[in-house]
Amino acid sequence: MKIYWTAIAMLLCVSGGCSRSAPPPPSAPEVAPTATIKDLMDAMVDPSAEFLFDNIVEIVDEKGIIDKTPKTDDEWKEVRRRALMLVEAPNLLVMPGRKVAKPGEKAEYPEVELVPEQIQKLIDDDRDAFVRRARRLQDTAALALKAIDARDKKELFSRLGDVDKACESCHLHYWYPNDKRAQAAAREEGVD
Amino acid sequence: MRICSLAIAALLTVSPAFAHHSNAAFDGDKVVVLKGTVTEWKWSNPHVWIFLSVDDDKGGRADWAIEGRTPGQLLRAGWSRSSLKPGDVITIDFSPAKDGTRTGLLTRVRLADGTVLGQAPAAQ
Repeated sequence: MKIYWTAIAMLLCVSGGCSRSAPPPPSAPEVAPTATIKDLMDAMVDPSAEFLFDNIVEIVDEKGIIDKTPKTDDEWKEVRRRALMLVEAPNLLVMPGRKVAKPGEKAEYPEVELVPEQIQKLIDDDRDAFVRRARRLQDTAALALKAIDARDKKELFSRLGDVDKACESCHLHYWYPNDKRAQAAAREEGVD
Repeated sequence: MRICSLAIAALLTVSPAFAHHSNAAFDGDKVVVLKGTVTEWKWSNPHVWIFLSVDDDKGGRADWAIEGRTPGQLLRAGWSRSSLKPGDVITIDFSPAKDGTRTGLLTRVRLADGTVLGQAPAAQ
């Protein structure tokens, strides 16, 4: 009888009953970055920032003062959409695996700008610093969004100045660190 | 339609493509000094813009667009949004664009009353 029960126990084990651990949970789907940082700057960050800079502005010409700031609900909605892009774009910029540029892309002004490979190395060597700079853009854009929600044009103009500083801080470190004139202007502006 | 096309072409000629850029498009080793009449004054982030009409020495006028620093910086250097107005005659110093377009990077402005507006706060 003892042999009989031992045989049954062995059969259960080899059929998986005592050797198999719990099945692994299904792996979570992963998203993969496809666009480069340069692509995202070109498609999301630049157009959104440009729109805000161009529309929260006072222009004086021979016809008088042209106040381009939003007036209608629809205009405020559009401004809000663009600010939201600036708030969320940094999350995409810092996604692990995101490359700076496509292979073969060059600096436009190599006398002052780093080539994409150099920028990539700077980011890879200190990702925390890159994330901090991206976060700065996110934080300043969030304050601009707050001013938009309050429909406070004066505050928004000032907050867009801070968005510009966040942009310039990152650009001076990764994009054109050899631009002495821009560096000097940034020092005077307190951009670090 | 033709006027519209000409206006767009003129804008493309005198304005850089993007607000954010290095200063590499301008020749920092050169300073051009022009006297002209302000046609437009744009108090904007990330750079202010001065548009002016200058005698081209051929009996005509030439339109220039000069980019300055941020409004925040200029406020600390003594500027305000009312520093300029269309019709003001000014003398302007700037670094010209390397590509020959009629644009430049502002160094300073001298107003008709002699007031000089630079880009950095005066040294203490």
